[in-house]
Amino acid sequence: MANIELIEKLSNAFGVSGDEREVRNLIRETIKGYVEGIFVDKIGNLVALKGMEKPGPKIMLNAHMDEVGLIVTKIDEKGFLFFKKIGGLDDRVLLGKRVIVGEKRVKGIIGAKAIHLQQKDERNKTIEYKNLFIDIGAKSKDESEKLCPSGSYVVFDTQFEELSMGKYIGKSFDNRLGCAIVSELLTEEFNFPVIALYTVQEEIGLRGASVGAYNYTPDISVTLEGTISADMPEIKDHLKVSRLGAGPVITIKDRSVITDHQLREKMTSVARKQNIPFQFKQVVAGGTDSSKIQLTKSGVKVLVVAVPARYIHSPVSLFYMEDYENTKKLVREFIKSM
Amino acid sequence: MEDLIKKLVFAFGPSSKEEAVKKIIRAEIEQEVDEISEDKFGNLVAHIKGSGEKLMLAAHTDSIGIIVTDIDKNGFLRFSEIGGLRKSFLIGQKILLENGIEGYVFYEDKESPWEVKEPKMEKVFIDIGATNKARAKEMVQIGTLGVYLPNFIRNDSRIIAPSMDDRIGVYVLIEVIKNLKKRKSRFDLFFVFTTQEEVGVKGAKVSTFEITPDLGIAVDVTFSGDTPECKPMALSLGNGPAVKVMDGGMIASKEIKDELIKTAKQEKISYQLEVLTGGTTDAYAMQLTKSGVMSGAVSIPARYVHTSGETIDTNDVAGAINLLKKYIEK
Amino acid sequence: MEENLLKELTDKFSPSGGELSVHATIKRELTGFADRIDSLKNGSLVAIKKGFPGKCSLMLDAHIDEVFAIITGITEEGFLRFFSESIDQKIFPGIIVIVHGRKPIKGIIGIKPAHLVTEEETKKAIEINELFIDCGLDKKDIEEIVTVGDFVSFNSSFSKIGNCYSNKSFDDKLGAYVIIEALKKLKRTSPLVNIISHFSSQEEENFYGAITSTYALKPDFAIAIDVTHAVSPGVSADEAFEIGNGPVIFVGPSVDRVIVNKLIKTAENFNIPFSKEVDIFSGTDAIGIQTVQEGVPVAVVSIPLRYMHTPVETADQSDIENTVNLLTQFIGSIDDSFMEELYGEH
Repeated sequence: MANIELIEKLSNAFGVSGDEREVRNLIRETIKGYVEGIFVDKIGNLVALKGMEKPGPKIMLNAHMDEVGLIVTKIDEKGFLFFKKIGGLDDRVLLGKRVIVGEKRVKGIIGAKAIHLQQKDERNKTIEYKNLFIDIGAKSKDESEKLCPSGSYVVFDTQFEELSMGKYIGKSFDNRLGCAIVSELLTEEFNFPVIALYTVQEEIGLRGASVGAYNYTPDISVTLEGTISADMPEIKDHLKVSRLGAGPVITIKDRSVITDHQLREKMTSVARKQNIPFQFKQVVAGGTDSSKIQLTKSGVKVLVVAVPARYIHSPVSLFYMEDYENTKKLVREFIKSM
Repeated sequence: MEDLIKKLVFAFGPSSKEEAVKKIIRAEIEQEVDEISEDKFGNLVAHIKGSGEKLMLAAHTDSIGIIVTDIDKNGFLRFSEIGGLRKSFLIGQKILLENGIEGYVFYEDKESPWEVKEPKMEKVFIDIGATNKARAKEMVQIGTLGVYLPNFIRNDSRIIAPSMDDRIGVYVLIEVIKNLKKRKSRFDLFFVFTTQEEVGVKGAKVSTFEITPDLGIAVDVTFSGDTPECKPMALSLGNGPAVKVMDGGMIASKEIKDELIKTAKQEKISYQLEVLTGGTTDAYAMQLTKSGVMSGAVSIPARYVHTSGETIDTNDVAGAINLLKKYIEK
Repeated sequence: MEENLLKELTDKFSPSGGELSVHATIKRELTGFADRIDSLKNGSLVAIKKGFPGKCSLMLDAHIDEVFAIITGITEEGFLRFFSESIDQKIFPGIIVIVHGRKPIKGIIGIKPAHLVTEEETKKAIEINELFIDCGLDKKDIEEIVTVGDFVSFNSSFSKIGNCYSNKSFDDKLGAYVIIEALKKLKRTSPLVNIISHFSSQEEENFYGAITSTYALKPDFAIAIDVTHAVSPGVSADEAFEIGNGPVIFVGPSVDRVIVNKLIKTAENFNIPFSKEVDIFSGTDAIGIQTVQEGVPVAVVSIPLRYMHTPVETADQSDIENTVNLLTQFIGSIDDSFMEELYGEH
């Protein structure tokens, strides 16, 4: 049974690329009773070691802790905050959203002009992020600067909740779902050494993973992700990437990596034997930590498995708990089959 | 010469599935080297022991290709690219899939029924002649890889065929190994036939880490500036192998460049100088490994790179083999 | 301001791959201020000043390669074709360049005269492959001196305008200058940590020097000193910094929070004016340094620079001096509690 409480806590946690502290501390608290070693490396990745004395291939479970968000760049005379985007975000999902800003977790709003005040040609033009701003209700530059100085990180203010039976909405399912699965798997016992690598700064270019496998380098690495599901109306079948309810999404190739053919075939045969539904990621899109882990030292064999979610990289996404469960089950059974 | 090049061109080897190419290489060089093995990443590494600095020579075994991403309800295949596939040269091409099935690439022509206006990966598909989805699924699956259907044209000293990038580099290294006066080698030699170059110079990166050479030379194709109204470039087919000065990813080591030029002049081998403004090679991966590897490249000028009709001149190939051989022997 | 040193550094031509030309100058300046100075195989220069107890090392990095053009062909008439990755094509018409062939020779880049040019044509920038370097020689003569692959530099144009200095290659020899002057100021002090001054090669190309030197030198943390854009007509305060307001400290996800906070505190404590540059990546050697081996905590301090990647890069004297000051004071205030915080975080 999925630890829904854990997923909720992780989803709600504040952790934009560059400031993953809250997520890291939460994961640390969650797993510390189940692993033998935990440390934070030079770039901020969280590494946990379990069963290192056991023989056999070293298996890495990887998930990135960071989410896409914003960073405050300038504050104007009236106290409005201007920002840049961290990670891939479509400008069109930013307008009129509630956000949380900075260390003091100040609540704010990305302001939107009232319809009454717009010219005809304004109505159908996207407002670029450069022209958007955050209103924290301050009346002056000084006031804002004291609460959220430039350089403050910003997340969407979205609370995790059940939308309908077994279907959940919230923010940052990319990749708190991956973090949750890795953390849940660490509570189980395996016959092999397991290294958990929770990375930072994935969304800005797989930075954490570039160094994360250097000290404890695995033989095989499985990256857990929350990936695109575009099964929406008017999207052509071959462009849907993956579908909700069809099970864990296994990547053959994305923009950054071709996963290990033999290991992947092993994983799909485990899925078939155990009657776990699965699907392949049907569009070559996105990049993952696996591509960096793959090139650590003399090379690592990598796999990528993901929970499908709609509307990732936006203020609110949607996933099915059955997909989460099946993803966790598939990875567990795969490791057990080694 | 032709036979081995043809064999290499006809071997199926898109990035990540280079087994068929490696098999041919092994058979050709097994008897000529001291050690041969495959590393963790699938790179084929051949070692000719020697005293002196470690020199790593690299040519990549993989070619660009495609990967099947969907089989639609009528049996048409949707696909994505492996490596830098040039979309303008895709439609109307024949594809060879892993299991021997061949197919033809066409596009959604509703908006422009006679000529292609704007080639886009979402709008192309492969017809393998399957009459329905079930028949198609018997022949291929999601994840099946494919390449441009191999073919081979030979006229005068020119060869036109897909995958010259980089089967011609592989050929050059095989011939260097065969013709090398091994006792005269001034290096401890590692010939690495790398994998997954086209998707991020990956094989070279991990192989260089493993070997930790002092010097690295990649053998790959480069462009040429000798076709009608082409982008100006001071490289022509038939004027000799090109010594790399710089490309889109790196500046070649001055020491290696100068030494190659010196060798060419001494041995009276015609050579050209390569300044490439876009694209790079395994040498880039080698250069940035650990505390650095002085890296350069010997390039074969080629026309129509990354299409199904890559064209080279065999004189340039012979020149490259000779240049590298003489560089190594002293 | 050591005007002569700045002029010497920036007049010399050191394209990516050709940094050796400035090694002697830096070596000479740092003799007596560092415990060892070495030219590395990768083209970088390293100077190490031992600290007390010197258990950890801070790497100060500035790149000494400058942007360049490269000869791509020689026409029948003896004109030179060229290409440049990092220089705007609009800079070239009407300038004097130096072609570094067998020996350096001057050339000029001219454009078609007025009577051959339409009004419409004048509104479009000339593509780089339609420009030629004219050295006043015919093909036979030029081929004795120049070949494809030779490098091309701007002619030097060092000048002082108002409170500013201007020349080619302030990006990033200003950074090198700052590190040199900081080391001179630190002569009488013993920082807690070893100071590795890394004058890096090929930053403009692919961070070759930064990546490979970091692998060899294994610093515990690093600060890159580079340049950032300064405000001028057409370049607003939204995307650049005013000159005269001090160094710019980079803030964002790709730098280390502890080092950045300490830099800011240092500036505040010593009344050094500064600004914050908030962005995802800094576009400096820090990017290459950060992900070597197991990772290196990095920060970036930049000097506002107008007209980057042109022959007339311009910076304010007070910004240069304040950057030296910030660096010196930062190094001077590194103590055990800072080092604990840096490592505690990790």
